[in-house]
Amino acid sequence: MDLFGSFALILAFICAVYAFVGGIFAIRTRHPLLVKSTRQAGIATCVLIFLGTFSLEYLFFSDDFSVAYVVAHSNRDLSTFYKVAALWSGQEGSLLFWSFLLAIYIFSTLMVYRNKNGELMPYVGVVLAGVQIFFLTLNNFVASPFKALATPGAHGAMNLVARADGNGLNGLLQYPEMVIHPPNLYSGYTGFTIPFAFALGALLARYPGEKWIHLTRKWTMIAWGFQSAGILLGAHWAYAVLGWGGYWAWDPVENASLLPWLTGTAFLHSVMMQEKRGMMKVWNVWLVFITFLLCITGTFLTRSGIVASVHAFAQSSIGNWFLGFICVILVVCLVAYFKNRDYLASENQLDSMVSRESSFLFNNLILLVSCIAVLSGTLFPVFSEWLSGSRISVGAPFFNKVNIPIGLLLLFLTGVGPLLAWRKTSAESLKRNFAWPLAFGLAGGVAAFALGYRQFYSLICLTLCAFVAATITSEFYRGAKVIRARSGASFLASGIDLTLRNTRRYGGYIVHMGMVLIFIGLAGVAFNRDVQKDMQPGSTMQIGSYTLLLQSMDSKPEKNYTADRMNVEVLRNNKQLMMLYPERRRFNVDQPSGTMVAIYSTLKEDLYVVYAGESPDTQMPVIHAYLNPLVKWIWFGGAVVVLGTLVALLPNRKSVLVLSAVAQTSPQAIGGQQLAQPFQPTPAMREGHD
Amino acid sequence: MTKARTQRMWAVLVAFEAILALGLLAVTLRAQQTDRAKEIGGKLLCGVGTPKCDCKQILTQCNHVGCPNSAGMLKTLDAGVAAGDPEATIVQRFVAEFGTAVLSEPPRSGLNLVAWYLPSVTLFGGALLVIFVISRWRKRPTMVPAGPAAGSGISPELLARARAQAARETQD
Repeated sequence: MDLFGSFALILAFICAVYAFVGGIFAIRTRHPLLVKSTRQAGIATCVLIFLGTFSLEYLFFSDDFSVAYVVAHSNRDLSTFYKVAALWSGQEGSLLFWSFLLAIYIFSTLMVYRNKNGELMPYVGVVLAGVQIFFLTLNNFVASPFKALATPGAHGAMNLVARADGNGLNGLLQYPEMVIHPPNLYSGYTGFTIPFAFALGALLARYPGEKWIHLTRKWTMIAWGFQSAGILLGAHWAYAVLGWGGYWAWDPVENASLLPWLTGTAFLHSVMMQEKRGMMKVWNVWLVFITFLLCITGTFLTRSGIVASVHAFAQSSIGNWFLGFICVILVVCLVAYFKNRDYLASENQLDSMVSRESSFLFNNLILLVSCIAVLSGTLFPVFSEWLSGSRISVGAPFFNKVNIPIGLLLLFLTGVGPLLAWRKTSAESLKRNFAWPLAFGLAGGVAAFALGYRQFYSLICLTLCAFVAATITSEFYRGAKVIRARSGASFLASGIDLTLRNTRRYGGYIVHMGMVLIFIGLAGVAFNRDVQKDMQPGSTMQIGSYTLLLQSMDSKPEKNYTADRMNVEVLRNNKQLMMLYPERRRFNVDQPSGTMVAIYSTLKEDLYVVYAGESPDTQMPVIHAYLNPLVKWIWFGGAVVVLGTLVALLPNRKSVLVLSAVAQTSPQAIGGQQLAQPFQPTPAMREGHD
Repeated sequence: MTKARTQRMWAVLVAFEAILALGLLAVTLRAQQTDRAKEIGGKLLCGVGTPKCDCKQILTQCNHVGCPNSAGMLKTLDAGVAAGDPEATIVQRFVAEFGTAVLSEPPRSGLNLVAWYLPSVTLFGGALLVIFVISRWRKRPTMVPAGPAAGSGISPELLARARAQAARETQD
């Protein structure tokens, strides 16, 4: 099966090269058969990548320990669930997994648009094939996951060998979220290839209008949704498994996932300016280019070993390939832009500083500044060592100091933006729209102060959260009120109707509400507490209002590891609340041991208990307990963000028939004006505004 | 109650309160010491550049199972805090042993200032640029189509009415 997999990937590479070279000829000659055959070569490439990936999974499930990658990342006792995850647990497999996800996107794109947009699709196909060639080069010639296990033999020959069992999967990855976090994150990274291909293709083809934006909007949202879910799942995994009491350490790999998310978020906002007003065309094209470049840059950072990270893959020369690819993309984008920049001229202008357009501009600025802050902080140790020769570290305290004010500014704009009108907002409208949300925000701040949240940034954050929540609620309320007045339905039904009529706008607001919940959770960090104590059975420790009683300790053998477990009784006001079982896992194969945190989670706070090992002085087991306020809001907010993204992806249930109704009005009703032709609202008009 | 007995009672009470106060003081000092250790430990990274381990986690948050560095570093930190050494002295002790990379954030001097000021310079520079761009866009002459909505056959009156209705019903 390893030969089959290798063969499938080689064939995929050949098909991708044909799709790329043939695609260029097809664009030049416009020969319909050539266009069709290159598109089919693109589809064949994807199918062959699927086959290659399934072959590798088959090798894991059949415990084929003659393949080096299977030996390194699996063993016989590994459960089926984690054999799936073993695919992306190492360098070679994760690169094949990248190609696999990319192939799913490309296959879907080529199939969906196979008979549409004939002018644009050959360009898009060439760009997609170019990206696939790069990854298939890595899969075939640089980091093949199908290498056989071999030992050096006589006369320089290699003897193929097979091991009885494998080394097993890294213990830290044997956790359910690790089966869904990387696919989500990689789906985000790879998904941004589609808007990139459409943007570059449209620029090269000088494709008229904003159609490429309409075509890629949903693809961008899908990629963004996966990226958001991936980031949050990763944070939850770090929180629940690593046992340091936090969920975000500003590690270079975490930062790498955040960078394209920030620019992707900026794009999702600024794209509305182009759709509504025909503005920001250059900016949008470059935002898509930069987002894709940051996806590749993040991968370069993770795999080159250029920055130290607890997550990074083993150091290898593969980073040079990524660096080369980044340079190629940059050159192609620059050349395409300078040759066709006249095509990106803006059609409109801004009417007022106080308008929805301006708020989008500032929103984009802040997201970009945040991106620059994270990127520069991540790379600064490298530049510092190059320039001054001194090694420095840029850790979490730096990123927190720099990014907290930026995040709060962004939160403020999240509240302000929806209250501003397109084109121009009058003073009267400002007063009317801002009065209640501002009052609610201030009341929220006072309530937070009274509840004891008295750290400066946390208080500001909670005040802004109340303000933004009020603005979003008022948007839903006003819309639902109109529908209720017309239909007589309940507020809830009217709200749902409103959302389904303009899913993009109200889905967006749901996403904003999710972000508010996440910020509420983040505000709790300033009040984290922790206590560490050497314990023996029968002894107790106190944290906040909780008393922890170590009842006993035991060992629980599982299929692939043995769990050393603490049985901790949690009491509150001398009443038993629950039992918690923090554990340390010793794996049967040669893998580092890991922790499994026990968490009692409420909306107010998390009681987070870690079995921190044995004290070197007393040889007694150590409990490290944390009291982390408001953490649950983050995970809840993440679910709301995903829900909002899904809603925004739904088609509108019915059009907002405002302009259609006018067009259908009889000539007499509009003062005898004869219409030469029926009024056709643009797609943007039909969808209402966002 | 005799005077001597009253005096004895007062003496016992004062002694009790003194012991209580000393106890409370000790607890408070211990708590402050722990908080201070946490605060200083938050400015240091664990195991930077040592051959045994390079986990680079915040010293007081290191969760690396069997970390060969954190226990020793925490002992040094606790000893410095217990001796009442100033923060700068304690931190300097670690810098002397591990180099500046042991600091969890770059010192605010020399080239490192670039890292500290780049985000704010970008923010303010970018904000000025956005304001400039908006002002420039606003000063541009407006492109007005000649005649009644050139070629579409829709009168300005109809367009104005449609716009008004759209504005009203989309709440903007």
